[in-house]
Amino acid sequence: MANVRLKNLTKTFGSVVAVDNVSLDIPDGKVTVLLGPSGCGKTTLLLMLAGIYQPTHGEVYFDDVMVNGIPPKLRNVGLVFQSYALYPHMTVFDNIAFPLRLQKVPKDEIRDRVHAITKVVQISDLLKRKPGQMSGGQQQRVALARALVKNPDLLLLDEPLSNLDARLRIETRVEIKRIQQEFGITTVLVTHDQVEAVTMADNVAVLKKGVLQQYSPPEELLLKPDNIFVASFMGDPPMNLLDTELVVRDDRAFFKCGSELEIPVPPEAREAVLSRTGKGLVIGIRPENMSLKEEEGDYAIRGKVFMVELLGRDKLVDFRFGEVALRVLVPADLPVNTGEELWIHPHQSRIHLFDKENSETIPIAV
Amino acid sequence: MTKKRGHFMIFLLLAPALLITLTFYLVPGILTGAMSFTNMDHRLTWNFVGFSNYVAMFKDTILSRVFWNTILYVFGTLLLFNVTFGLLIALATSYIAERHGEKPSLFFRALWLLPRFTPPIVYGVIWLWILDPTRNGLLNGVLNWFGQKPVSWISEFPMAVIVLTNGVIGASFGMILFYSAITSISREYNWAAAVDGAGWLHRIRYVTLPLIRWPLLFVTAYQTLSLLTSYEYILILTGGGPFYKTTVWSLYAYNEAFGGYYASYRFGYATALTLGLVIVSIIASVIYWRVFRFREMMSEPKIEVI
Amino acid sequence: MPKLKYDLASSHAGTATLVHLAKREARKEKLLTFFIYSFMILSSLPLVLGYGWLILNSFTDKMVYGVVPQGFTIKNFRFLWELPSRYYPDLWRTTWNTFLLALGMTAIMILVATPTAYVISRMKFPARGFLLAMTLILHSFPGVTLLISLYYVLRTLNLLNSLVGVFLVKAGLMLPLGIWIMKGFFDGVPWDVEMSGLVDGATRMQTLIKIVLPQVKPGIAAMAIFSFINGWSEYIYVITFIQTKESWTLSSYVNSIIGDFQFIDYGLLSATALFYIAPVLLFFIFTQKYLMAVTVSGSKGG
Repeated sequence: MANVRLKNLTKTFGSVVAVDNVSLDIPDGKVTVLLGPSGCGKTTLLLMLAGIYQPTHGEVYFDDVMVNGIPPKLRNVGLVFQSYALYPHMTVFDNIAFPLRLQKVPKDEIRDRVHAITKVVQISDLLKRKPGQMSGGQQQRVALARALVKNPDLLLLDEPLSNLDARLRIETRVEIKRIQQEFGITTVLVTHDQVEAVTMADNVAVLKKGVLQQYSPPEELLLKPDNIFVASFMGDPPMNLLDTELVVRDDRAFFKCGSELEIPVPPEAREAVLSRTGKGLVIGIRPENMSLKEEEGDYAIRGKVFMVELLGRDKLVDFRFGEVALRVLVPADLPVNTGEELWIHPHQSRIHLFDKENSETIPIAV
Repeated sequence: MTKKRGHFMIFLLLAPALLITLTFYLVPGILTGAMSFTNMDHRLTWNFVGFSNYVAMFKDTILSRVFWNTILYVFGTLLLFNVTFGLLIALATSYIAERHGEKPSLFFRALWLLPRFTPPIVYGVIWLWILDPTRNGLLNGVLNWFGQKPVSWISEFPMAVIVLTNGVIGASFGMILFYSAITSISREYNWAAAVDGAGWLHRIRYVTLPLIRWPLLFVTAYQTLSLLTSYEYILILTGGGPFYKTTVWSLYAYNEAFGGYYASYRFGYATALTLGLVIVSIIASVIYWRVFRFREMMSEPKIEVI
Repeated sequence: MPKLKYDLASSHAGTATLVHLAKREARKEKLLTFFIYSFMILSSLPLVLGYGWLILNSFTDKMVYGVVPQGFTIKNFRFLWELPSRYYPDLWRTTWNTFLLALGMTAIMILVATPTAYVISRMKFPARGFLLAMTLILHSFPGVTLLISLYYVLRTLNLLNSLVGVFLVKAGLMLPLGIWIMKGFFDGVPWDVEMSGLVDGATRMQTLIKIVLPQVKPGIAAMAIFSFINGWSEYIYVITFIQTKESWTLSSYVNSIIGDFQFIDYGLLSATALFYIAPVLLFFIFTQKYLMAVTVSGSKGG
C-alpha cells in the first residue's frame, strides 16, 4: 500500500489547461474522492496517477518515489474504467487473469488468485461468461476483480457507479467500501455525484476547471465550505446564496438582501462582520438549516409562502422577498400552505458568509 | 402527395439508373448466356453448337494450368499482401499516429493509397522500369552496382511479379479498413491493457487483433472475389505469359476473346469461360449477404411520407 | 482478509530499481519505434523510388546505374509539340478525349447515382429491398463477363471505336458502385433533421434539396473526384473497344509508347506517363482523405 503525493501538478492539452497546479496528499489506506462537474479535470488527474498521461508540470510521488515517466505497467495500480473496458472477446476468467499472465505468474497461482478474488467480489459462478452476457453490475464486479487481482498499491476508480441504475448504485457503493476496507487499499475515486463522494470518501478533493477548490473530510465540505463554488456544489437542495450588504440600524446589524429581505446578524458574528460594512458580501444558508414556526423569535424573519414543493420525505418551501427567493426545507408532514405568513428561524451557527470579490469564506463563528 | 403520385415520383428518380442497368447488365447478361452456346467469332454470327464449349472446357489442358495459376495468384496475393501486409501497414501507421501524430502516419497511408489511383498503364510503366531486364532498370541497376549480371525478372519470376504488383495495390484496401477499425477501438481498452501491464506487442496480440477480427474476415472474403475477377495489371505487365505461366481464369477468357497473340475472337468459348466466374461471384455475394449481415445496412426508412 | 497476498516483485524496491526498470521500458519502446519506422521506410522504398523515377527520369538525359540522374533536360517532353512517330495521333486531341471521358463519368455518376441512392437509402416503396440486393450483386459482378457481349452490343449499335461507346459501357458498369457509395453517405444523415424539415412544412423533394443534399456535399465531392480519376485512368475498355487513333485516350497513347519505345527511349516513356498521371497526382495530394473514404465503401480489383 502506498500514500500518494501530488506536487503542483499541471496538465495541458494544447492551449487547454485540464489540471492546474494541484497539490494533494492522498493518505495510505483511505478513500480519496476527486469530485467536480464534468470537464473539471478529475479524470485527467486519475489518468496521470495511472501513468497514462504524463504531467506537463509538477510531480507525482508514490510513497517517496517520484513516478513521473514511469509507465503504467511498472506502477502497480489497478484501474476501473467508467465503461469497465472489459475485453469483450475474453471470458471473465481470462479478463481477470490477463494482468497476471502478462506478469508471467505461474498457471496454478493464477487460478488460485483469480478464484480468491472472484469470491471476494462474489462472481465465482460467472467465470465462463463473456462480458456481453452480463449485467452492468456484474461487469462492474469483474472490472473490480481485474483491478484488484494483482494486489495493486493503489486502486483507481473512474466514475464506477455512473453506468448502474439507482438501486444497484446504492448496493455497489456499500460493496466497494466493504472491499476497500477489507484490503485496506489506498483508493482514488472520481465522481461527479456528491452523494457518492460523501458516502464513500475519507477525504474529498473538489475540483473546478482543473483548480483544487477544497480538500477536506466530507462533512467539512458541508459544514465549512471554503468558497462559494463548494458551498453551491455541495448539498441538495442547494444552499441559498444571496448577494448582500451589511446595514446597521438602531444598534442592530442586518444582512440586507435585495430591497425587502433583512436577515439579522447573529451576535457571535458581529465582531467579525462589522469591519465589512459597505463591502460586497454573499450570505449562504442551507434550506435544512432553517425552521418554520408560527411564533416570532429573536432572529426570525417573517415571510409569505410563495410556493410549496414536495420532495418525498421533505418539502421545500419557497419564500419571495421582492426579487429575492429563500428556500426552506421542512418535514413533509408539517402543514404549510401557499400564501400563509410564517416566521423563518435561521440556525444562527449555520450561516455562511463569503467575500463577493474573491468568493472565499469569511469566518464568522468562533 | 397521394401514394400513387409518390410512387410515380420514385419511379422517375430511379428511371435513369434502371434504364442504364438494364442496357448494360441485363441485355449483355442474357447475350453472354446465349453466346456461350455458339461458336461465335469475329464475324459475330449466331451458330448454336449446344454444350460443346462447356465440353471443350473440360478437355482444355491449358485451362487446368490456368486454374492452378488462378488459385496461386488469388491466395498468394491475398494472404501475403491484401491481408498480411495491409494489416502490418495499418498497425505500423496506427502506432505512428499514436506516438507522433497524424501527419507522418497519413504520409505513409497516402503513399500506399497512391497506386490504387494511378492510371493502370502508368503503374505498369513504373514496374516495367523497376523490373527492366537491362541495366536501365532499378533492380538490375542496383545489381550492376554490386557487379552482378542483370536478371530478366519478368520472364524468370512471372508469378512472383504479378503477385507483387497486384499486392502493392491490394494492400491499401486492407490498410484503410484495418486502420479505421484499429483507431476506432475505444481508448479505454488500450489504457486498461497498459495498466494491466501489456506492451504494444501484447496489446496487439490480446486486444487489437481479437477486436478487429470482423474486418479481417471481411477483407479476406471480399478481396478473394476482387482478385478472382481482376486481370488488368497482369495484362499490362506479362500479358499472361511467358507461355500461360501467369494466365489466370479471367485473363484467359479475355485473351480468348481479344488477345492478339494466342487466339482471337473466340467469343463463344470465352463467354463460356466467364460464366464460371459468374457462378463463383454469385455464390460469394450470397455468402457475404448472410455472413456480414448486409440486411442491417438496409434498415427500414424512418419516414413514410413520400 | 482472504489470502490474496502473493509476493510480487514489488514496485517498492525503491527509486533506483524503478527508474532502472522504467529506463529499460523506454529503451524497448525506442527499439520498437525504430523497427516500425524501418519497416515502413523499407517497404515504401520501391513506391518512393518508382514515383520518384517517373519524375526525375522525365527531366534527365540518363540515369546511371538506373537510379542516379544525370543532366537536366526537357527534350523528353518533345511529344508535347511533335509526334513521337508519324503513326501517333495529336497528343492534345488524345488528352481532350481523356478529359471528356473523365468529365462524362463524373457527370453521370453524380446526376444518376445521387437521386437513385437517395431513393434507395431513405424512401419506403415496395421494391426497395430487391433493388438494394441487386445493387450489391451487380457491384461484385465480374467485368470480363460483360466485356465480350458488350463488344457485340457496341458493334451492333455501331459504337465500336467511339468514345461514346466506352463512356456508356463504363458508366453502366460503374453505376452500382456509385449508388452503393452514395447510399452510404445518405445513410449517415440523421433522420431527425429530415423529420423536422417535414414538420416545418417541406415536401420530401424539398427536404432532399434543401436539407439532405447540403449535408452530403462532402460525399458528392468525394464521388466526383473519384469518378473523374476513374474515368481519366480507364484502361481496359479503351484498349478493347477503341482502335481508331482519333478516339484514343492517354491510356492507348502510353500503351503504344511502351510497345514502340520501351527499350529505346525511357525518357520519352516516363515523360508521357508523367504527363498522364500529373492531374491525378494534383487531385490526390489535396483530396486523399476523401478518396480514402470512397475506397473503403466500395473499391474493387486487385
